[in-house]
Amino acid sequence: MDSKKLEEMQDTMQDHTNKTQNPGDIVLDVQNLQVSFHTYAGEVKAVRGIDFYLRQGETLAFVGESGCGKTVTAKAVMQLLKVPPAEIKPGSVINFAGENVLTMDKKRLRNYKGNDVGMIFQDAMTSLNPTMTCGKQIEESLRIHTDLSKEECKKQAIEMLRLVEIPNPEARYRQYPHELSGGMRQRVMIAIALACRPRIMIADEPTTALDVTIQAQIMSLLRDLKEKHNTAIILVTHDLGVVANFADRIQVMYAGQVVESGTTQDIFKNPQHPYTWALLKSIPRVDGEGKEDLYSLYGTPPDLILPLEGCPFTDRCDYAMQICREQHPAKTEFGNHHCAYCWLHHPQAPSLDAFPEAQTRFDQDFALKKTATTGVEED
Amino acid sequence: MSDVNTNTMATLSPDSFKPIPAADKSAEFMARPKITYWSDAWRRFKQNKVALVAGVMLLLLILMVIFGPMLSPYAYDAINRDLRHAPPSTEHWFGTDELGRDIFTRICVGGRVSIAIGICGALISAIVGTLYGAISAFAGGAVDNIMMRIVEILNSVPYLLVIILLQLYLRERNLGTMLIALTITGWLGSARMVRGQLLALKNQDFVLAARTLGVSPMRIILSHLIPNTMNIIIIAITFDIPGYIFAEAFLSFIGIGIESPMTSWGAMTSIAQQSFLFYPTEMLFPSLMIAITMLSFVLLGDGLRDALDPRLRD
Amino acid sequence: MIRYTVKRILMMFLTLFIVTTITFFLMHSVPGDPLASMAKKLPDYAVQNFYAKYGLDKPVTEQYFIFLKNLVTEGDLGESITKPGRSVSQTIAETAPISAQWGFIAMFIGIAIGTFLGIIAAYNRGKWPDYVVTFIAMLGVCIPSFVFASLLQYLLAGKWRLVPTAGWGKPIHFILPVTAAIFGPIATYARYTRSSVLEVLNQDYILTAEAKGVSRSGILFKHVLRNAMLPLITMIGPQVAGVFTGSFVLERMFSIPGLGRYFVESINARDYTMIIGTTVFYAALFIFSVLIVDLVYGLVDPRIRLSGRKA
Repeated sequence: MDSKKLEEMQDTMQDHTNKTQNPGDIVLDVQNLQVSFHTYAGEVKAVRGIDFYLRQGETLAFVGESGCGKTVTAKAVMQLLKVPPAEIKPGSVINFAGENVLTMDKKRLRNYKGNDVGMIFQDAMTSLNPTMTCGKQIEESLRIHTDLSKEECKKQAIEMLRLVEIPNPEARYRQYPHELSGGMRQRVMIAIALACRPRIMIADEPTTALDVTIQAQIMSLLRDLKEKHNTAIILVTHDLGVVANFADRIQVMYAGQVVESGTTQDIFKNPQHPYTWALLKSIPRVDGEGKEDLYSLYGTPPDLILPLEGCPFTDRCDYAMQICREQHPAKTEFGNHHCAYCWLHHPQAPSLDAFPEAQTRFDQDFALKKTATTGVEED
Repeated sequence: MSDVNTNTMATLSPDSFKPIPAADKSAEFMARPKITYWSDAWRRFKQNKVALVAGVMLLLLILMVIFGPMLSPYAYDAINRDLRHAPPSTEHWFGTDELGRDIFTRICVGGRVSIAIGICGALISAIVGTLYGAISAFAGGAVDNIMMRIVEILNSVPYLLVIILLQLYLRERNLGTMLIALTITGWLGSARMVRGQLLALKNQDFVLAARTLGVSPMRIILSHLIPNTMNIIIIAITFDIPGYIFAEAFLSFIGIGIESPMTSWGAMTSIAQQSFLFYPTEMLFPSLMIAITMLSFVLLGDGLRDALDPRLRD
Repeated sequence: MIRYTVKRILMMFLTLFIVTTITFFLMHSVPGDPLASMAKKLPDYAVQNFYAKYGLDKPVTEQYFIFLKNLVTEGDLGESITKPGRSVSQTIAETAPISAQWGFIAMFIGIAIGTFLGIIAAYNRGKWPDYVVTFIAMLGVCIPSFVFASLLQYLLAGKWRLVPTAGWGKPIHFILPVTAAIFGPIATYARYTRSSVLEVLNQDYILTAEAKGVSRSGILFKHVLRNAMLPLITMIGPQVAGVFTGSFVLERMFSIPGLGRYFVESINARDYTMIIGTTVFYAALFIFSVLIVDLVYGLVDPRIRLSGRKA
């Protein structure tokens, strides 16, 4: 983003309480985010310089295996990391609507959390206070961020419960989290995050703890709410299937770095990184050619305590070359903000035919079958 | 595809782009050395300087109560009516008591009783409690229910009342009867704890997995249940010891502890208390010994808990 | 909840009955009968009278049923053996309030200070306030109350003459025993509150509250305290037992005419009726307070309130 655009944005968004926003405005801009954890064994570099932006009303998905830095990134945006042991390294930039989140004072930061950005956590069972009624937990953020009276807050909280499609909201208002089912609890969680109509909602694996039918309900609820309120969403997940018909853009992460990012279309139809190929190939297919085994990526991601000088995926990559171990690949852009970090795109790199043993060979046919089953709409 | 490559266009050596053979890759590479449970526990324990100091302190105390009386020219029960309430001196390091007996020697002999009661009491209650808890957990059903009801009833009576009643009942008061009285309800805590731990383990995934794989029950007990219960039992023992030392001191203090001329730290404190406004050192030494010993065991227990509790591993 | 309460109350009576029975038979089967030492000094006819008076001439089982009948119908626990003419129930009625008075003051001050220190320590984990609190708690755990009491007596009363060494009746007499007795609860509660608060601070719902923008103090008062303090309520029951045992030694040291002192005196004098009576009373009080604490806990913790029993 160039500085002129930034200035323009700052002008238009001086008043952060002004929540009428135009679709397309950049609400979140993160540059060179680096997060480390200081442990007894040494410094664990969990996030290693990632960039991304988020437009109003847009959904961005972080996809990757466990421990690739998705959640840490989300928590860093929300300023929820415990410092120490966590440390957001100098040079990192997190701008919310042109305002630097890292230099916000305490009061502004409290307002930023909850009012500007809301968060949904993975496990609603443990993420809701067991000794507080659901209603009170929704009301809490209204009481903090708005001037509404006690009565109005209550009314608004019940309204929120209705909004997340909880039947009989007046009764639920008085109930405790353990009295609700898992899906209902996650809806309460969403109601809490949305209570103040934040401009960004961060959903950290919102459906992982739920069973499949409930998952679909929650995802469709999120989509409805997003469209109704023009909320921008960051969706953290390891499940490409969830992402396919929900996200506008996808950012594939590996070992604390972004390896590929682009629109959902680009990622599913024209992926450019071997890791993305591997992820796509491991989605179960209904149509498959019969007895083909489900592909499973072998090995585990590298320990983030290592410096990792080359490409972190090298040891698990079917297309690994000598250079991959030595130097980190630079960014290759494919237009329309689609980019990947891989040496295969270097002009000197051999063609894919040089790797006859590779299993994750990617072809158009494969991609189309994938997208057909996972439901990406054709243009 | 509009390939706008932003890589440095400086040509790299063609060798750089040679594929790496699969055999050279190590996707399971571990950066941190693999540490077994017990060596990791030992590493943590060594790091805890406070617990180490407490351990050394205890060792010194135990050596003192064992070999102290040999260093002293006085017998613990030798009465010297000419030298009553003597202050500490080179001859009597800690002074003498109301009958002119050497306090240092009596501290060592009394320490044997106090520490023996502490360690034996904790061991006995750990063994009884572990057996009871394990039987209850494995039997399950009605047996488990009845066994736990019994524990509940025993547990709802104040512990010291039971001990006092038993002490009165047993009449004769020596190390053996003291141990019986103190451990009669002392095992309840470990029984509950072991049962809880075993029940939790029994249903845990790794035990289920082992069972599904056809591992024999004996092996499951040896390689899964015991190691995973051992740690909490060790911790419980270390924390029980100061409790027993305290209970013994308490009983002696209210006059139903060990009988004279045999003594314990509690008994010495009790007798010295009657004249301590005039001879404070007579009370100081035994109570200091109680405090140091209890402190050392508590600190050692803290260290062991931190070292052995896998949930605290980071 | 009602079923649970009824079940607990029935359980309480069963336990009390068992305790009473065991205590009675244990004390009556002590080698040599309770009057033996006294009988030596008296002429035969007096001994006969004595035995008849305490019902000791009857078989033990009959004595037991008489004891139970008197206890249930009149709350009568018999008469003291070493102090003839003194009824056990009356002695308890006169002396127990004194023990309760200073004992509960000490308990509540101790719990309040201990809880406060525990919160301070948890919020400053690894910094100096944490170490100071841990040190105080360690002292409380490792120094028996009678040692601490002696030290206080020696310094405050003996050396500095700020308060009387012992005695009862004036407010100033409270100072020494209460100070000596609060160390136990302070230590226990500081330790448990610290770990309980630390555990709650690690819970996911604290992160949720942070994500809502709740302030530090808001998180402490609305989320941490309630969840951290709930389990600590159940510890008040055992703490009541601590009040008794504390009174056994401290009342003797400070010449307080409370039940604890009489109990220890009757133990030393082998006054069996008094021992049985006091034991039954203590057991009843303890079991009852544990029951009350558990029921209160059930009322304030929503997770138990509905399911009716502990998870």
